[in-house]
Amino acid sequence: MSAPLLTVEDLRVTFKVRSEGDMPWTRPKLLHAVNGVNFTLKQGETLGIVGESGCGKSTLARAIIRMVPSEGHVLWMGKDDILGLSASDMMRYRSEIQMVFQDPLASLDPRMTVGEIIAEPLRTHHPELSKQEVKDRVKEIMAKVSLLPNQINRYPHEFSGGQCQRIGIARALIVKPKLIICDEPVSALDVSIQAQVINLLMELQQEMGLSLIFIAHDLSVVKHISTRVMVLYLGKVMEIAKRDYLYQNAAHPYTQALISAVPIPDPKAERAKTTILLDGDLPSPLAPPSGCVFRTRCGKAQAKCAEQEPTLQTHGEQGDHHIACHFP
Amino acid sequence: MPLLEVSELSVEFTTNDGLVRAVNDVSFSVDADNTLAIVGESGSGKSQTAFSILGLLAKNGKATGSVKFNDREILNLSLAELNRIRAAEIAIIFQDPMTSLNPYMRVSSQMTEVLIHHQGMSEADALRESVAMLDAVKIPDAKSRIRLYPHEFSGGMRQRVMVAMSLLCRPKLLIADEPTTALDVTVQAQTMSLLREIQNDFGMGVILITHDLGVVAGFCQEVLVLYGGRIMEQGPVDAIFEAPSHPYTLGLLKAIPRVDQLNDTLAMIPGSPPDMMNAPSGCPFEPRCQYAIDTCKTELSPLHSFDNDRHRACHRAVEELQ
Repeated sequence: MSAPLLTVEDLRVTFKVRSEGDMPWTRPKLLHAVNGVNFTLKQGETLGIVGESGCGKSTLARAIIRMVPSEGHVLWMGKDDILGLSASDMMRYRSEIQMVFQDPLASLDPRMTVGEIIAEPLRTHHPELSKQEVKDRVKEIMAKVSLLPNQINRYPHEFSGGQCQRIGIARALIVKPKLIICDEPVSALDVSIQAQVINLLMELQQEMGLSLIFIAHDLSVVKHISTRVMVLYLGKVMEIAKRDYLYQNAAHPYTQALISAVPIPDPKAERAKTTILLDGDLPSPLAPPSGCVFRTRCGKAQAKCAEQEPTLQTHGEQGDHHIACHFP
Repeated sequence: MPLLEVSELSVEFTTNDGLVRAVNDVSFSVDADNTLAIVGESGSGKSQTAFSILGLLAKNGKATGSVKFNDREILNLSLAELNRIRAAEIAIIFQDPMTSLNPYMRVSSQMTEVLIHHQGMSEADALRESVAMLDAVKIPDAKSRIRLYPHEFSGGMRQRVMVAMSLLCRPKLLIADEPTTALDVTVQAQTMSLLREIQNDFGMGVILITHDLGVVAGFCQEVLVLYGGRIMEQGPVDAIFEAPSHPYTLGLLKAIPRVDQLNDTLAMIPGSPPDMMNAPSGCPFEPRCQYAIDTCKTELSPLHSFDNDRHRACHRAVEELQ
């Protein structure tokens, strides 16, 4: 078996936070946004990452492409540790890993034409290409994401949200990456446009053999697009499993609550289901609960949960279902 | 007699680029104890419909038609008269609690203000009532938390404060404009179950504006589907989800992935919503509709009723949409 495309080992992102009124010599508090995350991603696979806001899913994505400083190991094809590379060595990987952002309009430079925006990564990574070659590639990729090539000289504000997201996808695709990290790519879009973008991503993935890391808070969208799903809570992995298995046999109380809270667009099914209501809010990540981070909102929590932190362990017979809970 | 009766409501905006007709000829009614959902994508006119009821349109907006609340015409009333109705009879919750609460005022002063102004309460009584209301929306330790500023609450808690504030004068009608769109699913479930409880306790009519069909299915009895400022379909939630009668509703329901089912492909509605500046002369959905015929381009289908209490605006017969 070939090595997975991406192996993430014990990834940690820690922010130093100074609160108001602190003296200059007080030590800053440490906020563990991502706290020891492990996972692997195979070629052609889509890993969905879900969790509430503030659980560290975006920070995790940013850490992988080194937009935030982090500790741990991120192995590319089982060999090079991306996190240890110098900036110039990293350049090679930047064309392999691309990112699509949440806010389609804000992630495009308003003063650049669509052609310039899409061409920018290509000109950075392949300076040897002639102007005409770049233009041809841009037009080709625009057609692929269903943008009209004659719109090449327009500016982002002339496009709708869905079209802007297509521009963002085209920009990511033009350097022929192996992995695209999508950070909430459809949450700012209308329902009818959302389906267009999801279908486009899935088609492109099939066609180009891409791997995706798909971050979203919408569990139905993640279910639709992912091969495997990882559930994060306060920077820690709660559960990770194959998509179908997770949605049918979620074993972690948090995953169960998350799935049960998603409203179903069918009055009969919606009335029939029982929603597990979680008490209160996400605890402050500056002062996470001792032991299991979820215990303060968990219906099954017992004394052991406060004392001992559950580690991520294999659960069930399948071997690819991992869960961090004392009482699954 | 319905609590609120809206008939032939239209909203126009005069802009530098011309006239925008955001809402066209919309009629509906809400009974006490009942919940009406107004569903639509951005730009469909769902928020403007609600805003015009309370006279909250922007300065360049003009509403025509009729809005009767308890059999009294309230559309385009003077500001003084509207202020008597706002909060006291009809309350509204907005999408983003952070921008609709005043960041410079403690929650206590924002809440007591409502009671002092509308009901002439003393400050002490108003404070007591406000704390009771925060208790009712399950804010822990309400007595001391009421002294905090909005930014000191989490997003879900802030939305609870908004709900509590809107209920202070026991309104008969609550308009909720995307109340859970900015919240996480777990917090959304909390908020919606709270709203349901409160509606039962207070016996209010509720208008829920949303784009989330899941929330509609769980919370509402009646639904109004808007597209391009016009009603596409209207009727009881159960019937419409069971057998949508308009191509747009049909397409929407097929375009959303479901957490309880595995659908291999998502049906797509091609194209994008209409440009309201140059609204099409025919059916606004025609350019994106797979069932469109020539008549749809030029002629608008009137909203006609079928199956007793359902309405639809489409030239094609229900049986033809499969």
